[in-house]
Amino acid sequence: MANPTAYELMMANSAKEEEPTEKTPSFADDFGKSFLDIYKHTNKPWLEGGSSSSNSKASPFQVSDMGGSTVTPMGDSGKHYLHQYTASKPIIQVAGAPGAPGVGSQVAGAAAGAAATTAVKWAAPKLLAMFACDERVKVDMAPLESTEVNDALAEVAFFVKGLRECA
Amino acid sequence: MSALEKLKQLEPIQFRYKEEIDPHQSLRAGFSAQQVQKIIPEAVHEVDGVLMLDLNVLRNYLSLAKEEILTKS
Repeated sequence: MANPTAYELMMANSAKEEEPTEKTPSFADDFGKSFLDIYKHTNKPWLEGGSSSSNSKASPFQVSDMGGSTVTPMGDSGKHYLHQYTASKPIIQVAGAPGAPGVGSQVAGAAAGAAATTAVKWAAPKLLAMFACDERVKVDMAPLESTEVNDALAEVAFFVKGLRECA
Repeated sequence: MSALEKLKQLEPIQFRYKEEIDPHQSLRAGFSAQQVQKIIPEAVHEVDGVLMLDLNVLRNYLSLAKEEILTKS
């Protein structure tokens, strides 16, 4: 079989975003949603907000899938607070039985579904993590400020941006 | 040079793919493969004449950097 082209790899990446595998931990699982999440599991009650008995100002607010924010006191003086906001996740309910084909497969039909499945199976998992980052295929390059596409590459890019600014 | 130091040298960018690749011209976040290649050459592969970034390699570097940060703190 011939090697996949760069375009085919990008298409395979798109297919992967639509049908994430459950076995592979996501970027957020490993590193959190932002650079600051690295510190979440350290023994620092002033960052975790409430694990220490001496920290009486622990936030009563907790982030959930419904969205919201946490306000965590930092330090002992009570003058500084860490405010983290999490947007709510959309709730999508799809009728169907567990294990049944998804709506995309049902709507697109057998042919399209088979083609997408073949593309995903054909590309090895390692290849799926490849992104075309060649300057020659890009325009309007500028230092990172925002994005309209939240893919795996964007997660890493914003994480590195956090590292550069804070670590 | 440590993994953390290498990662801090990477310059995250925003960009759009050329119209023939992305007709919607969406604003995306990522890196320049040419810049990454100078710092972490093993993370960049050439496929069909196009430089591709291997996210698995970058994630390994992020894991090492994370350990480094937690060790220091």
